[in-house]
Amino acid sequence: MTIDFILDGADVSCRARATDRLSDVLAQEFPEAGVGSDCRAGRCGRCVVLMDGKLVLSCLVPAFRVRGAEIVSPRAYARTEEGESVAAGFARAGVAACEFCTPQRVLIAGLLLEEAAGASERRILEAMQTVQCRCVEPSALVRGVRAAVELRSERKWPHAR
Amino acid sequence: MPASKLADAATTPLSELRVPGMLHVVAVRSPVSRGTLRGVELPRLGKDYRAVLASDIPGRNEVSSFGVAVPLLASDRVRYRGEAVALLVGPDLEALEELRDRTNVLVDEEAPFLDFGRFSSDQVLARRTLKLGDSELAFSVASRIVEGDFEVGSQEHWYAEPQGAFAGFDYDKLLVVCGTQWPYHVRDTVAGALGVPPAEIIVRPGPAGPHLDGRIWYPSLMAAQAALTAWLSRRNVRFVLPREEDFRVSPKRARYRASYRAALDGESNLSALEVSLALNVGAYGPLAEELVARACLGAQGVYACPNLSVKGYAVSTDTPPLGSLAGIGDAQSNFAMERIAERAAAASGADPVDWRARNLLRKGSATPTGTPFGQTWPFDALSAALRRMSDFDRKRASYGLADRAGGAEGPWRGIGIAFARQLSGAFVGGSVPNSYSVEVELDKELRLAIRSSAVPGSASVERIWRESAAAMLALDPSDVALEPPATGEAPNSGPSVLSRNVTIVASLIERACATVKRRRFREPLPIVARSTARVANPVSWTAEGAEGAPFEDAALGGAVVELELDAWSLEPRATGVWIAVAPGRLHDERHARRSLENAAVLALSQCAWERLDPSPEGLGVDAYAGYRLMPLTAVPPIGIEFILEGKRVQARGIGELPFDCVPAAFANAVALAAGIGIDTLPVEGELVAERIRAT
Repeated sequence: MTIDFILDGADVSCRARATDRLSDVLAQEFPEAGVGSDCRAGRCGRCVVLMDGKLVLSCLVPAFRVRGAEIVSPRAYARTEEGESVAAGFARAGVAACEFCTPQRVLIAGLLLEEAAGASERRILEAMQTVQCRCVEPSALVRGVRAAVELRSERKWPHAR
Repeated sequence: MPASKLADAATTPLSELRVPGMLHVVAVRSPVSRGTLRGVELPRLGKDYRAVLASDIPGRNEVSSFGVAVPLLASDRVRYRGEAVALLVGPDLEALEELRDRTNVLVDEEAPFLDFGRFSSDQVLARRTLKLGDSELAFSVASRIVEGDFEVGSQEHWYAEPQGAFAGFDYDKLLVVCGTQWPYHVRDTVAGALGVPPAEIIVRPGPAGPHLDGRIWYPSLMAAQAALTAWLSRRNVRFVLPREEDFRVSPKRARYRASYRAALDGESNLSALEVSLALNVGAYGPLAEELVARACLGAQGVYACPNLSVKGYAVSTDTPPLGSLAGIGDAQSNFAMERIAERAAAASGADPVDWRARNLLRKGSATPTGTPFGQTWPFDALSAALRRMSDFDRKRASYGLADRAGGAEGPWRGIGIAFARQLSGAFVGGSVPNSYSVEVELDKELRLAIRSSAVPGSASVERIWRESAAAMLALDPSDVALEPPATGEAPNSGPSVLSRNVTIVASLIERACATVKRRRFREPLPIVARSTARVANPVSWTAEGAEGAPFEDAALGGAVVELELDAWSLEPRATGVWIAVAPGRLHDERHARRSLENAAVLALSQCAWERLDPSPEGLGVDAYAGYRLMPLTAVPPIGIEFILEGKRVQARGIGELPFDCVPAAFANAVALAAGIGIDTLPVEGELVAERIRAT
């Protein structure tokens, strides 16, 4: 079947079978989106995307469900103003995540900040748990999210002390 | 093929790499753990598809690692379930997977060796013996004897991206890209497999994420398999394992068992040790020699022992090759010795830290190789820091008072301490030469280029290299460039293991820069200087023992773990971890702190979460589905302190210290919390309950 959807702001179309996973479709047909499809079991988190504004593990989403939906890949999100502010927060806090998980972590952090800027440490770690990568110490992720909150606040209220 | 497409290959994650016309590869694998391969029945392959068997390999069918040969493709025997017997290459990955599922591998199955508790001499791939003094005599006059049997399980690396490789034609060279710790090993393996001179192969290390020493030799095997299919099909090829397949077939940490007997003299000091240890190195055992050598040299931990008898065996079983994970064999023996130290202190009624201080290796103490120990570790400062940070003494006294037998209500709490040392970055197995080079070039614009095949692995390490070179030559760090660690362009800097990047490689860069500094105003620019490291007193082994001085640059570290046992399940859950290390010269405190904290998290995960037991059928879907990493929410606060000894001392490797001392501190804490001895890792609630019932 042919599936039309919006990927990173562009109308796209691809052929897929009913049983295909969204992660496989994205990885094979749209490699520039940088969506991985490693575990195909919802474990590793390399396939996270925003689907109509909600975070999903795309390896658990059948491809047909994406028809007409809007998908934002982590890499595209990182280029948005929100994504850039999170990445800057991570840099300020010295988060040394690897090239494989950084876009996904930035996306998750950005979404978390939209949900609750004052998210608790536990909530931040629960959200970051979506991505199973051993590259970075958990406390750094908490510091990174908090630094992103500070940065957004500074940008919004540049004259506030 | 446009060159730019292949230039991108080294910077793009393999799973995202697409080159026009690129082919994919899947492996046909053995369905059984041991047997004689009778043949491979292939389905009808389409015109764009082909199979590659061992008989198609133009060169050597092997990857050679530390003197051991592992076949690229099984030819007559299969040694583990999942061993590759053929490769299928073609343009459509899904079609390849269907073809693989329709392929029959014909094997005369034999009963596999999976248990390494009992083994025959045929299964021993490497053995090492250490003998010092007269342990029999020491035992015959001992005041007390403490004993224990110890077991440390396997562990999965859980890579950021599964193992894989790309091979493509770049003008007249074959370009190979893979996430490797040892580019020159990949190059030599690929050249050997294709039967071409090594200079015909260019290897560029691609993104690897945290490798945890799982990418020492296996990327060479995958690269050779990818290169073979590329060579035979004359096309660019990408071969990446799905995560579940990677879990089943790629190397894991070797399993460990040991029996310890320790003799204590009249003053309750350690007078003798008898140790028999075995490491399950799986099929072929590519790191067998180094693993068993390190485990033997580490058998006495950080303690002086005048009478020593250690026998170590690397045992081959019919599971996937097992080897290194964040260190090569030291951590397991240190776990056992620290449990013995705890027991010895308890048996003699001594404070556990005081007993350790009394028995510590001191300047002049005999080391296992017979050479006197040449340094004085800052143990008092280090242990004092740990006690202070963790409030160790008060908590230990308090937790020890709980009347568990009398039905004291949980959660039961415990706190434990352990110490360890990390050797310098040299290999100690005896057969791999310790010789590595780095080159620097100062050009006419006063820009410095660093050339090394060492894979930095993180931006922090790159920064350490750049900043130390800049400081040596009074340059701005932005004028120092690190050239890509590709073979042919950078000299062979050996594998990036054992914290070498901040010890050996950083020191080589400084030495090369010192040479440039001396020549700078005497010779015209550009000036090129090369620095080569040779270990001054390398370890060599005989049937009776070892010679050499591997302990000279060893770093000391310690850890305290506080935990509680869940009131209902008895699962141990860490509530605090404190680490203190004596790093020698510290290049970058923030990097060192992050590295230690992350290592502590991984070590804790091994302690209570990551269980990996190969069933008779090998590592199957159940093992994969049941494998658990520690959730981020379960990570306790981690405190770290450095005991600095001035700027003149050399930088020491410290990255593995948490793997060496956190597990023993964890087990010591469980023992205090539950009032039982726990000598097995990982520690799960079920095991604690079983031990409590047994006592």
